[in-house]
Amino acid sequence: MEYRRSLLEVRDLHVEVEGKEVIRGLDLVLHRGEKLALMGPNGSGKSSLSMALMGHPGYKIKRGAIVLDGNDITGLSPDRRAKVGLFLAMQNPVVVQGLSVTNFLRAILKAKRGEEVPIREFREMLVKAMGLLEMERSFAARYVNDGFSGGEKKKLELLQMTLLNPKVAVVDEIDSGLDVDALKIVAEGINRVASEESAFLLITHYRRILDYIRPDGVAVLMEGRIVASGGPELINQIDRQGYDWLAVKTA
Amino acid sequence: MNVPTPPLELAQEPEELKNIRRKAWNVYTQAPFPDRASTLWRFSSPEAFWIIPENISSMLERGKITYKLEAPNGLLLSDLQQAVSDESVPVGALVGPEFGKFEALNLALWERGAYLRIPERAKIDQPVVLRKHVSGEGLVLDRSLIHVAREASLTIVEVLEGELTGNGNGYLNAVKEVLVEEGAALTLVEIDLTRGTTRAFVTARHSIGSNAELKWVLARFGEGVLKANLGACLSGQGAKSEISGAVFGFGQGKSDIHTFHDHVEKRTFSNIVLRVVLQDRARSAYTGLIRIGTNASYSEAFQENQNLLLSGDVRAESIPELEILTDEVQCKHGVTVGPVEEELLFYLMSRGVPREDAVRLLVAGFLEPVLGHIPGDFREPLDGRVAHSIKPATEVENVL
Repeated sequence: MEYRRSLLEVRDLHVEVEGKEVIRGLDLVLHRGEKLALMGPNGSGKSSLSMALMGHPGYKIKRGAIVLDGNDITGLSPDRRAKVGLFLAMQNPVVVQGLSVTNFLRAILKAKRGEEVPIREFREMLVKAMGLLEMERSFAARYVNDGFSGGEKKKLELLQMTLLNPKVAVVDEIDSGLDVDALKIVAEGINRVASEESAFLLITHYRRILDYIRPDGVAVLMEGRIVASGGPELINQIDRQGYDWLAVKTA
Repeated sequence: MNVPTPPLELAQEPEELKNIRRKAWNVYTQAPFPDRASTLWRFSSPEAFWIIPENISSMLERGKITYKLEAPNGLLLSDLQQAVSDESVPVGALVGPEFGKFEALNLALWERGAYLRIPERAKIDQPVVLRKHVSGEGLVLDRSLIHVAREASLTIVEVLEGELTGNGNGYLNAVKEVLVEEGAALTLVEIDLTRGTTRAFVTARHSIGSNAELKWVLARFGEGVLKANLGACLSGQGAKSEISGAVFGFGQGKSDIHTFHDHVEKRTFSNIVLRVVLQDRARSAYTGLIRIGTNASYSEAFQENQNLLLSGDVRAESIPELEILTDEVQCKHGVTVGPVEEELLFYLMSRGVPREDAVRLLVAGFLEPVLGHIPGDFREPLDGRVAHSIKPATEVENVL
């Protein structure tokens, strides 16, 4: 088997939210070029894991380590984690009143490069990326997520991911609230960003998105731990039997 | 009582104005100090705006103001002094001698002022720019009168620059009267770029005729002391007034803003959006009164004040007041006070934006509903002040 270096390693992670332990000793490895589906029922800790990985202050890491491409990012602020190459496409991105999509994207590109992106170059990048995601030009002038439909929010997350081109992307329930057409566009977008040099953690409750983005492997999260992992065949089993049979196994 | 300094009497002034000035001088020197229990003076001390009459002449000698108009051909800025001598100009019609003690000081002694009259049906596409520059270390009395005649429409951008120094002696006392006649439309943008700890006492009154419209945008970013009383009287049916204000206070800056929307006639509309950002030890007080008079049925009035606190040592007060004297009206008001939302900071930071840049973006976004009304060229100095004035290590709890 070909040796692949790991891009993301999570070791014995314990996370608390308001004093309650929501991630309880989680280990996870993502290799370069890998797309891993992380599945689990509601309340299993999927979103908590994504928030903890990105460094949300409400999700306190009590034990364990997160290593991204050889850098221990466990104690870093969210902006430093992003600098190292982590990206989180959020399930419910917030509305930022008064900040236009254009100004927002310029700011995040400036943060990545450490200098202002020349306006012409920025415009070309933006027009191209928006075209691929089938987004109207007028979208760029709107305030971030303000009055956006579910699909538009997800497209904006993906647009940012495209421009930032992260090493590791955590994609949290990007299929929720999408109709089939939007789902296809979003999935194609992810497939385009994914490369041999990057790794994706696709968090999802249902198999739907996995028909469009073929994962290399599947891990199942329940009660804050990985309870099963395997190849794509696990998706079908979960689809048929739900998660209960795994719960029995852990009990 | 023996009056130590006489009010200004200029030979060419009409007798009527001379009388008004005498009355005003009596009010300034004799009237009791405003009651601190009234809403208008709850958050500012009248003493801060009082100069003993004996000192006024020397204070006036040490303060200076210049006016400059950038306008299309044909539109002239007149010296208000000149104008009152030449034609009948209603100085004091909206802010007269009895209006208030400190407004009376202005009326008694103003010497230089700005007068703009827009003729009937004139439609002016380009913004008319009025630049005011203050300097020195004394008292400046600034008086403006704008008269937009029937069915005229234009945008006026007024930029106030300079600095009044003198260890806190520098003091700007400004009064503005604006008449917007039937069917006219005025957009008035006022940008205050004064530096340092300039102390300002500002009073403005607009009278808005039938189906006339006022859009009034105010921005003040600095560390000075401001006491402002801003009002519009919706005196004709269908009159409309929208006030948008942005305040960014830092250092020891203090702003005490009162607004008054007086709905006199039927089917009048008013809206106020005031956004306040405070940093360091800055303070803000906002009191907003909406009055719907007995004849003003079918009117609508809205008022919103949001305060963003960037430090634990700032203070924001907000008191909306409604006085509704008739039925069939719609009024709404809302207030928010709070720090930058952590969820918003997290979102921006998760995209690689450092904390202080994220705060800057969020402050700019917070002010955008107001600053968005300001024409591009005039926004830059304001945006620049936001960017440069926000301190990376604000005393917000550093949780991220």
